[in-house]
Order: sequence, then C-alpha cells, then structure tokens
Amino acid sequence: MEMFVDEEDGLTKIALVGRLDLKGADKIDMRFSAVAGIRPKVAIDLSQVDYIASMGIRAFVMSGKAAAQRQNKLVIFGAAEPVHKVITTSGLDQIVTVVANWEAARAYLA
Amino acid sequence: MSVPAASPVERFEAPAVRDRIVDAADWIDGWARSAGLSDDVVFAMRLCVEEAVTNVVFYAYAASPSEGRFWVEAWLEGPEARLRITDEGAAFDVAAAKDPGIETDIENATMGGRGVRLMRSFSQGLAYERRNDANMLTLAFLRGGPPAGT
Repeated sequence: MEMFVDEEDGLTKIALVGRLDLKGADKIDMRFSAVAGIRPKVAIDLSQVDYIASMGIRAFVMSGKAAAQRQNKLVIFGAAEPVHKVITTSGLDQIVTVVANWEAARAYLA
Repeated sequence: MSVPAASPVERFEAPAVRDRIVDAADWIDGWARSAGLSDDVVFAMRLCVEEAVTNVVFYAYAASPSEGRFWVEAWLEGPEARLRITDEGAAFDVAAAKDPGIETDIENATMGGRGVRLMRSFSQGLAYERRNDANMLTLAFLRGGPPAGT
C-alpha cells in the first residue's frame, strides 16, 4: 500500500495505491491520520485500490470522525467494484461522503 | 480454464497472532487462483478469511493465557468453493451474531463490528459448529457464479 498526497487549490488529494488490508492499513496509519483527519478539505482517491477489508474501512471511519470534530470536509471517490461493494456493505457510505469521481469530489469540497 | 468437480482439502495453520492474518489471506488467495476461480470469488474468499481470522486473533483467544492457533481449510465441492476457519478459543457463533445495523452518524460510529456483515454478504452462506471445544466456521462461494455480495 502506497500513499501519495497532492495539494491543489486548497484541496488535499490523497491517492492510495494497492491493497488496503490489515497490513496496508498499518503501513499508512500514522501519515494517513495526520493528513486526512486534519486538513480542511480532503479527497481520498481509491481508484487504484484493488482490495479493502474492514481494517481499511476502520481507517476511514477514524479520519471521518476527526474531520467531523474539526468541521472539516472529507470525501472518498473513485472506488471500483468490488471495493465499492465493501464500502456500501460496511455502511461507510452512510457516515462518510462517497462519490464516483474526482470531479464530483471537487464539487463537494468547493 | 477448466476446474475439477471436487478437490482434496488443503490446509493453512498458524499461531493466532496479528502478523499472521494477512498470511492466511495470501494463502487463500493463492489457493483460489490455482483452483481457477474467478477474480470476484478470489476477492470474496480473501475478504472472508481476513475478517474471520481477524476475529479469531483479536477475540477468540483474548482470555487465553497461552497463544492459540487457527486453521484455514479450502476445497472444491460441486458448484461451490468452500473454506473453513477453525480455532480453539472462546465459543462464538459468528453465523448467529446479531448485525448491529448500518450507522448513519459519523460522530457516534463504532470503530469495528463490520466483519461479520461483510462475510455474510460476500459468501453464499455461513455455518457455525462448536465441536471438540473448537469453533468451526464454514463458508460457501459459488465458483465463477454471480459476484458475491449482490
């Protein structure tokens, strides 16, 4: 699991690449929390994530909580099947905003 | 790729520790691919093993003074691929566990509790048995059938 952070027009885009299992969540844990939970406008790109388990969902719930406490905006985008199915089955999309693509994410954060 | 109608049971065994959870997921991934199963079934089996073994590592042996072990078995049977996760920890009927439901409030959202829902959704069925002081969870997957979780 790799993590790339890009700042663009006041937005923070975090691209995750690889497998977001327990090992992947451990690898990005500290840095991901430090960015996703603190920056005011965060978009998380899952278009290059090919697997996710509940430990990955947990990382997004933690960041979503931190963002909500600070009244920051956080959005997840780009998840393809079957990763998207894990997101909807787990209910993550009911507590964190999930959209289809970068354009929709940018519109949400505007 | 053609696949056989049935196959012998293959087995993975490891100590029930955090570092071995992904090893078990890697093992079932390799088994499912070598059995010629579709990418959707490989994904579903990998996810279910990771969720089930995570529960074993974090909860089944929580009250045990010594390190426990777990076993993952996989085989083909008729139209299905099946896997079984066994541990000798505290009794816990995953198949009967109550689903806490979908949460709608991020501030009060729980950190865990989603694994059982994922296993139910991504498999064709769960069966639990307590035998000889061991938990045995068996899951079935349709080989190359409609994507699990639909």
